[in-house]
Amino acid sequence: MSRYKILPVALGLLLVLNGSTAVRRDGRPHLTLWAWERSEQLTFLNSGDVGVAFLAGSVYLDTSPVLRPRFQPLRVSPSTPLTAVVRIEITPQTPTDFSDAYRAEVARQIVHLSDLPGVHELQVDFDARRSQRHFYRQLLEAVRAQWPADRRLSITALGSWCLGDDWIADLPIDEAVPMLFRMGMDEGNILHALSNGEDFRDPLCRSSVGLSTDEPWPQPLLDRHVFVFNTRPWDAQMVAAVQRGLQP
Amino acid sequence: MRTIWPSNRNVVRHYLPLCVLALVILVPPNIFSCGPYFTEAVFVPQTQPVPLKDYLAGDLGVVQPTYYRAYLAVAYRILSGRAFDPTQLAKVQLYWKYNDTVIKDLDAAQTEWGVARDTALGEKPSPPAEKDDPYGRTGYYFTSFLNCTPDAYRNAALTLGERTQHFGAASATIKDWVAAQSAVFANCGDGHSTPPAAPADAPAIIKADRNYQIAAALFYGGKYQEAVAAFDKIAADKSSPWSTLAPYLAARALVRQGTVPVTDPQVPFNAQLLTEAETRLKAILANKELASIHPAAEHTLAFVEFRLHPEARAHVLALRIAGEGHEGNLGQDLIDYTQLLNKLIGTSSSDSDTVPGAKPAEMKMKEIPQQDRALMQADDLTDWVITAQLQNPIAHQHAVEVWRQKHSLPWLVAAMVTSSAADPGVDDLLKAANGVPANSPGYDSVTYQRARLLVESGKAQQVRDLLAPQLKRFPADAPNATRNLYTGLLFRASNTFEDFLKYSTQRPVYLATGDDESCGGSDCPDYITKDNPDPLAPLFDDYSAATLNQRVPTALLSKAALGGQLPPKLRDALTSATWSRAVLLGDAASAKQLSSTLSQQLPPAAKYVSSYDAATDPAARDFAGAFAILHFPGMNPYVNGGLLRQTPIGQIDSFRQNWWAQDFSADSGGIVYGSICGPWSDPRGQAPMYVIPTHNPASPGFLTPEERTLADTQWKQLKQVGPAPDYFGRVVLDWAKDHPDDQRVPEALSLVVRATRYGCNDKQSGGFSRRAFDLLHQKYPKSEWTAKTPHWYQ
Repeated sequence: MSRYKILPVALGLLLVLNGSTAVRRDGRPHLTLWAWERSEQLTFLNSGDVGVAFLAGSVYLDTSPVLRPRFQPLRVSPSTPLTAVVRIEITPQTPTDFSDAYRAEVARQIVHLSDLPGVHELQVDFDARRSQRHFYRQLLEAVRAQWPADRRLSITALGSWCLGDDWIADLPIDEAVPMLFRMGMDEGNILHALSNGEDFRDPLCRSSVGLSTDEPWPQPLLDRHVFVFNTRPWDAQMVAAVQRGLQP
Repeated sequence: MRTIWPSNRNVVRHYLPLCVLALVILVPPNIFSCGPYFTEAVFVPQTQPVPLKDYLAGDLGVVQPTYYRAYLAVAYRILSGRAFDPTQLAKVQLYWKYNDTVIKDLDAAQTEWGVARDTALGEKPSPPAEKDDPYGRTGYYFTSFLNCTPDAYRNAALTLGERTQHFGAASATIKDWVAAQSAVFANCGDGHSTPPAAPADAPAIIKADRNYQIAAALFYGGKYQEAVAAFDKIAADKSSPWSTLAPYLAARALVRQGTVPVTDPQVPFNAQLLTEAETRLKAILANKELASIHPAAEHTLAFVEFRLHPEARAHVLALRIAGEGHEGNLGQDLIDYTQLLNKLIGTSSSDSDTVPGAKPAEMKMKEIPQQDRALMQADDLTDWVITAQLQNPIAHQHAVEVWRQKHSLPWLVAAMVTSSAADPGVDDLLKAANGVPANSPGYDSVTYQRARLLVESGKAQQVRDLLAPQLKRFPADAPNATRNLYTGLLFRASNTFEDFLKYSTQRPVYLATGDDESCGGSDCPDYITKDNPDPLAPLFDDYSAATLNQRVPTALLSKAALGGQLPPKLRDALTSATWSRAVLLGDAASAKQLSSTLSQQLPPAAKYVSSYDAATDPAARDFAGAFAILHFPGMNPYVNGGLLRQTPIGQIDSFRQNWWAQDFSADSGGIVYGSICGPWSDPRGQAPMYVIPTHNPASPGFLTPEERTLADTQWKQLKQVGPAPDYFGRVVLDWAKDHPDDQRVPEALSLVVRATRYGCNDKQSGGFSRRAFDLLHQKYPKSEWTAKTPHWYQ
């Protein structure tokens, strides 16, 4: 397989290899699996080297906030680092302006959905439109105020937020995970930039990357924290294949 | 705060929560490209019919055995002559709308309760009313469950309305009633509260209501045995208005206790509790005095029997869906039936059979798992669905046997789908298919299979006679899978160059844009541009593209490119492909035929094309041709099936869909997803993402023997060219060595290095990159191209 002779991508973290997976110096696993709303049996992950970010629930921004918790069982071993992901969805009735009470209720529900045993990180997944960024910023501030200070708060991010747009720079979050799959119209620009060796503009976007098992991976970024989405339920074979794919 | 059921709506990157994922099986991308595609043109949907409403209304088109089970079950019923009437259609459509219906119903029910409560208290209803959380946390595996259903809120609203009419809004009695009901609903989420007993002097009906509310609170609070006892007591009190409903709710409490929470996913329910519930529910159904709750009892009994007696339940549902039994809720029946089949015999697959590890050619009927065979023997629908999905010789043998016994249309379709022209007895099938009238729902299925078998037999004229008139039924500008299937066969049976081109293109039915998202027409905004206003414009499919590339000599391709028969975009694509092909083959005459057209189509290429035409010897032409193509990463010597390259021809594509790959050959049989063109790696490691079927198309019938030989020779030559970066490296370095003063050389060397970076490489490409880089820097240190080329690429 070809690779670039020179890879001008800033690498800010050291890699400590531990067999086929890695635990980073910051104590976080190199690899985290996204476990979405389906029955997932992940007790075979029992070394603590692979994390699980599971969909804990969704909040629909309807005329009033509408909650949908998780229904499908997620089985993990006690040693698995857990991240609760809350998805924010818009509907045809999503308001154009959000009241303080509305925002407070959304924040409360996000924290309520995520307040589960073993969860140390909350990740909010919201493809906010430009017109919703102000609301999202205030929402994250409200969530941060309610989420324990010793637990991480992160968001997923569109690639464009990390490359060109840069509106996320001062959000009250620990990191933003750029999603390098299903990028829609941004795909060409983002991939072209990465292929040319550019890195994400915002430092919040440089510690992790979000990928999918059915789309190609950018090799220069694989030494970051990697979140992986699978189109099917996870099994040991697929996890092993992913771990091999992360090896340099 | 309102709560809703999960939406069935797909969201970018996110998945359906409860149902089997409706993955779209994509048309394999062109094997000649080295980059992965994420948007596919789908000409014939493999897993679900499009549009669904036409299918449910009886327009089945050509039923695909690869359809998911729900669609096959519907097809069986319609093929059996039992199409849905409007009422049945509305019910069966709920299969595809289930989650949306529940969302709206729960929200509406909670709103009704809120309005009723506010009205009863003498307050003005103020939306959005404060809503209770109807979900309870199980405490296991991070799951929640819907504790308070729409009926709970609706029943409370209705009853409160009646009581308010009697006792008056804002009366003490009503306020007390509302307070008790609020205490009930407080148990829906994580709260626990039980209303106090009614005051001793309360009216009898209020006392009766209170007993019911207390029982409900116990139910929602998870105290199920206490709830059963409380409801049994109410059932025994014939003076209570709740005595009829109470037996059902006692059974419900047992069901709830037996299924929530699931403490061990391997043991999803308590059989003893469900059996007790089953006994109670059957007793209700046997009691005519309880007729008003029979529908609810039936629904809950279905829930119980799904779990306790899955095989028997599947059989009952099959009969109902097939229109042979007592008609129930068709939508729910279809959900339960397909879920049961998934549970009993595994999920359906687009691959050959449902028995992993079996070799279809050697499989015997007895090797089909006993579970599957038992189900096949239970009823005709299940037999047909399983047989259709097996798609192997055993399935064919069984389908023919059953057809010979029953002579039914569904089994004729099943038998023909798995037939080949060499099968003994195929003539009987063809004869039977010929007798299917044009207004039959199976007409297109059997007609297509007839034509397919005729193609296999080499009876091209009969294929044309059969299918050409059929195309008139389908407007040419409207995408249609049946039309595409017929067109594909007519392409194979074409006996003139004109018909060959006419049938070489199809309109995609939709574009699959990722996950199970798709778009068709105006809802494909990403694919509608000024230059491309019609995202479903006609395209080559994989077979026609492979035929053009492998089986048609360059001269005829030129004729096709210069003629007016193909749509403009495909003509343009064929022009640049054929010119590139001619260059690579050293066929200057064919290249010159296309010069003018190519230059007009691609003005920036004109000067390079002129240089090629002006070259006087093969080496000069080779260099001029390579120099031209180097400037246009979208040029390659073949046409694609499916979507054309989306990146403009003069631009580098981010996924390395640039020039052509090493994996040029149709004989390879597969391509590894992205592995040729790193640094985008195949996340599955060494295993291919998918194997693209080898296309070994037949030679078109209109070619002369000389043309066939010429096409084969040219194809063999093209396969020797190797990946584009290597080709460019060879040609440019050779020319540079002999013509160091050619002013084009520095630029050409720089472009070779660029090609090794962005093109599809092999192990030798790095060597060409290094040599071109070294020569550029050593021989032309002051050239602007040297400054633009700071690196070479391994």
